[in-house]
Amino acid sequence: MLSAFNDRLQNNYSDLLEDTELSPGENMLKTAVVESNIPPLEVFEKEEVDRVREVDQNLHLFKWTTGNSGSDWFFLDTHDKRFWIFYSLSKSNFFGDAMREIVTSEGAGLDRLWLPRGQIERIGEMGAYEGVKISYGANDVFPEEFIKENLEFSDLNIDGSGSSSKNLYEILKQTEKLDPFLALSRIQIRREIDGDFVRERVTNEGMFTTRGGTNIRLHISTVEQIKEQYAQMLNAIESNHIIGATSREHGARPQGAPIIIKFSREVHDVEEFLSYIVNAKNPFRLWGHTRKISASAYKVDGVDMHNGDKIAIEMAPDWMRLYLYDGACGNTALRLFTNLQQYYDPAAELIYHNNNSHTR
Amino acid sequence: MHDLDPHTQQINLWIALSGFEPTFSGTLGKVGYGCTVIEDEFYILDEEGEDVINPDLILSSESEEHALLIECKSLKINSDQIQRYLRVEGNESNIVLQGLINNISASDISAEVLLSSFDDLSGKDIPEEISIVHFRRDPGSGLSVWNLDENKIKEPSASAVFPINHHPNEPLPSGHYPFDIYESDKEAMVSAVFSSVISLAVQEGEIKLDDVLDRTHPYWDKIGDAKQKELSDRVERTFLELRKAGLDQYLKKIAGTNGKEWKVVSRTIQAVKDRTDFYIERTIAELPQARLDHDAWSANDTNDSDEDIGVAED
Repeated sequence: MLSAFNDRLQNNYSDLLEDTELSPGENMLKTAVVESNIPPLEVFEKEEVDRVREVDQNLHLFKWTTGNSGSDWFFLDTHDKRFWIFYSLSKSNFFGDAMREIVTSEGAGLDRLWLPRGQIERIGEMGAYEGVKISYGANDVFPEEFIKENLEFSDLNIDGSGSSSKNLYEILKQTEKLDPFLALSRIQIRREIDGDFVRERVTNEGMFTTRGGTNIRLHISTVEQIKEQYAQMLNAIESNHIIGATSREHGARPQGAPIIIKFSREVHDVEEFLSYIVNAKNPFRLWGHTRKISASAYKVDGVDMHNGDKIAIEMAPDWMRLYLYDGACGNTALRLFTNLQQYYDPAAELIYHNNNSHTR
Repeated sequence: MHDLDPHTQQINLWIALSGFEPTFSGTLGKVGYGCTVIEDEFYILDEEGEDVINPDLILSSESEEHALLIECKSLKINSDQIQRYLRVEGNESNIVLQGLINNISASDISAEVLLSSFDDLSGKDIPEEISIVHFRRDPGSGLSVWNLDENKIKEPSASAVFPINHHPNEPLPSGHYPFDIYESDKEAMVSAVFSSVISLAVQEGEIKLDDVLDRTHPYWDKIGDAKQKELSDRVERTFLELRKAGLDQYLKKIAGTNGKEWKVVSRTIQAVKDRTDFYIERTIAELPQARLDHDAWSANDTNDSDEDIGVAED
């Protein structure tokens, strides 16, 4: 597998360098990291899978048939039982459709990564910028009237490429009125280590397109590093923020604390805001009962319909307390936070307890 | 505006004060206090006889080798109870020997009783050996939490965290101990049961009463038997009333998808969303008054006593 990927990596790079387009059939290597709560073999029982070959116990080759984009092959690496890695040399439209189908068809079992802006910026620090994409979309969630009263932008799309994209991003960040709307959805970097290099495009959903390089192991290491950063964040959330109670010889000991999402701009009408977030529709898919609990604060007892996790929200104009209850997945918090950044406040902060330090 | 009962709210506040709460105050947690026991009892047995002490919570600090036995009060103070609490002094080792705290040795532990209330207890002639913390809510200035001068907390690091002030626009933490058996907690209870039932329909495909209870109240099976029965009866009756109000048809549709058919789930949950307030209001209206000694909560008292509680097809 590594040898085939390595050849493709090097061919892609020379094609892009010389012709600026790829040879027929020479698709770039695509990789997706997926968060899993199911046994690895369960995905092979899906009707969309028609062939499976075991390379070793934790590496399988399988063919997936999509609804609209045909069939193609994936390698699935399940060495890490919580985070699976899918590799494919397929076309990008097939890869996108197939990954969406794989993740959504498993209900609560599989989920993509939800990388907040701060995490994407950390990926940027792993190499030299070659591109950034900003995709802010308040108009996908909020009506025109709400946007007019509360936000300077209804949407904002900026696609910058080339080595100056870091400068572009820095200038945008220093622009006071723009910074709170920079919903960073994708970054391209060139990473160099010990004379080898790899060029990666990484989305905030944990999808990679490898645009060339000299050594496939550098791609593998990049994916592993990003996966590890995400795993640490998820682990901190699940260790410290699942609300419950532990039985003791007498009574019980409380467990967990709410996670805080702190907004950079005040929400003037919390009830109206929640009516667009907790409406059981995409992208938030939150359902719940909202009630007023103080002059300008509201509480929601609800369910994340992505996976059925029971949640509660207490919201004031400046922040939201998110309670994840026993059995909930930490990805529920990261999904809500990343979506709030994407559709309302890209400068919002996630405050959670990370052992002895508090991370934002 | 719907608030929790003051007793339930106090339980949540003490848990929050001893935890990680950047939007409230985790000050007791920061000085080393952790909440160790909720609603249990221990015995004091000495030459004066035997007494039962049941604080609502115990907050203990390993570094200070000290425990705060906290009783969340209203305005009503029971003098017998105060006399029992005064007997804790000199018998602190019982807290360790009876297993309520295990991170401090019986020979080293010190302890004090602390009464907290949203009402003013300053004129109640409570002996100075017993500490008093007052929670006061004001629509203009928010929540202030202070330790009365006449009834100071004896352990200095805990005493030093007061007063605490909380902004008026900000909600008090209420998600740790979501509701209790009081009338004021009824909406919180119905809302919590409702979300648990929807969650179970998506994730499990079948809904059993024990699972509803587990998902609705983290403490229901970890507190005294009498309270367990009270909570269980209320949750069961609430679930029954939600179903009778018309939720059943939607639960079956959601449960049938095994969480994997978003289009079906989406249509169904939209229908539930449109009727969420109706289900909540209707259920609250159908529930009995929440009196402690009331047996009207038993789901078996309704006309549907022979109906299976689950929506699962066995």
